[in-house]
Amino acid sequence: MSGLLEVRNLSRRYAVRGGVLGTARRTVTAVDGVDLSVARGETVGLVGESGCGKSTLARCVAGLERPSAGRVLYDGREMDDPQVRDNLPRLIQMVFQDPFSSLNPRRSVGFSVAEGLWAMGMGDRAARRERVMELLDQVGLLPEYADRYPHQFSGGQRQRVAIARALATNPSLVICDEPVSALDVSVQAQVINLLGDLKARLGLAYLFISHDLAVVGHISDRTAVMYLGRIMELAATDTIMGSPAHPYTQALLAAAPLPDPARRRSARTPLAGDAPSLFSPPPGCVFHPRCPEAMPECAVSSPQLLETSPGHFVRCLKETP
Amino acid sequence: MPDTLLSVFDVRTAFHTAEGTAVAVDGVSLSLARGETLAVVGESGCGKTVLGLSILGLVQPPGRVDAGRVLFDGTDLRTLSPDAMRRVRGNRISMIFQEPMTSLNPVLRVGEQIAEAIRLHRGKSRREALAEAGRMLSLVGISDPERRLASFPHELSGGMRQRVMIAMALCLSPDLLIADEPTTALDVTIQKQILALMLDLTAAKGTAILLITHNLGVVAETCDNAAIMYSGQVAEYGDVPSLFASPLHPYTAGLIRSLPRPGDKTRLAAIPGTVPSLTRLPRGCRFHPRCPRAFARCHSEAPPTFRMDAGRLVRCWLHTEAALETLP
Repeated sequence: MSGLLEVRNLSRRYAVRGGVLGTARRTVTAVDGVDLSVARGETVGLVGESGCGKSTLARCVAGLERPSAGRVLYDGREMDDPQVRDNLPRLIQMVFQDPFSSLNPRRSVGFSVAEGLWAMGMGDRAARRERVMELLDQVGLLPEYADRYPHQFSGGQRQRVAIARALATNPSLVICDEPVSALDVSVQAQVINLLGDLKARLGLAYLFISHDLAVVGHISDRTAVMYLGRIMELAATDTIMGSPAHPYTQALLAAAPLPDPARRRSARTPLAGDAPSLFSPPPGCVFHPRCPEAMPECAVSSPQLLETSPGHFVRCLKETP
Repeated sequence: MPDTLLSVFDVRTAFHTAEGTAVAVDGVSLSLARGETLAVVGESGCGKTVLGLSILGLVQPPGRVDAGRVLFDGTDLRTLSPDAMRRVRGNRISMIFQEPMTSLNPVLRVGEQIAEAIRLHRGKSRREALAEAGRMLSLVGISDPERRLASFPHELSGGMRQRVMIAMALCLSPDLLIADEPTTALDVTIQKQILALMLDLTAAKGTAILLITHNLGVVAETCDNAAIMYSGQVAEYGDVPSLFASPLHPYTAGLIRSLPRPGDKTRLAAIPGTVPSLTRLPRGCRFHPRCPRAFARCHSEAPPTFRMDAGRLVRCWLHTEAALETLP
């Protein structure tokens, strides 16, 4: 496996107006010094609660937002390199949570699926039509559905259309931002299976973002856990699920309700409090106010993301030698 | 039968629209004992929310409860006048919804909103009611309750707003709490806190809970019994351990198998197809087009509800022989 995507020390800050007259300026750091890589054909999961910066990171990687600092390398080239910039739709595509708001309600789904091909000047009208049929078939929809409109589809089918559109330009990397969160359980499994099949058939790499640890754990080769803009732990998915080192990862796993009444864990104390505001991140380790294992020094010194065993990165003072 | 608090008999709630009649709840019967936690589980459009609203008498036109009885502590709520029903709601039955921001008044301070219920239903003075509201806020784990009484809803986080809702719902010590997806909009670590809080407070006062949810994990961790709904009907009912260990209905089995589990990478057993539209229901069993075990009878004849061992109920032809009784 060779590196397809390299994210190096990426930060994204926003200036926010505040105060009574809207003149006070404050800065919010949504993503703070993230390092992450995705190899060709690999699925990297990005898990975290709302406001942890996972979607902002995805948008920076997809070129929808400019990072405030740090670099995004695609196949070893900078995002600004004309070879990357001018071909971005052919390299990276995105699938969003709500397919209803990402598909044009006034256009047939065939048009929406073909739009990327048209914009990139790929093929003539007949060739594009043929490609649309092939794509719809690939995502498990009937080719004649090309002439239907988004409202004629169920949520699961719309997400299949969104996936077909993302695949139209043959990207190597697809960023999936909560792609199954809006779907019912039975349909969610269909879409997860489809994403797995497409990966196997087309050799796709995914950056798979979700708040649902079970879904990420099912689909990802490696998993990164984010909290307040930082990666707290990154390892092979089996390690994250089986022997997590960071107290936050452990808390997330313990909080996810298991569909198994024999293993009821209501006795475990839940993590206390809310995630702190991005406006005033706590000093020291950002997780320390909620951490059940916090030590006095966690409030003052900010831990680095360190490789504690090969391929296993943890940002925690108790793992720092 | 243990001390029954609520029994719903053959309730039918339909939406009468220009495009036709959609029967959202079609002959649902359930019962709930005092202090029990019952889950009503299903996917979107299965009728679980409308069932909750039907019990509360809150179905809005073009929807209407067309038939059935809702016996609450011996009284049929459907026969009560709107005024009498209003006294039952809040006082004896209260509710929590998914999105607290839509149930809280954005321009009223949190304390006023909790105190209002206490004043209206308990006839306390404003000062007494506010003091009681403060005690409720600290009971639901809100730090600095005195200050929070004066907060507006937008100044609180999602988890805190849901705590306020729980404080409002439980301040009058109701016998029944109907909670419709109370933690769906929350992060998992907050969900865990809110569920634990809801269970602790209701257990302390013997409040029964009707928990409406799509999340089987939440059901497994919190409920005594569960009813699985599909297309407006109860497909299966039983105690939660048996339901998960040996589901009787192929739909229940399919739902449980389709869930991803952390650390398990085998291909998911998805249920094919989608939930049918309520205005174009399939003939026979409503689940048969998606059912891996459907046979000839399922295509033509809708199954009745069978009573099985251990008080379990199932609406499926596979259980004709093992059934103890066929319910009318």
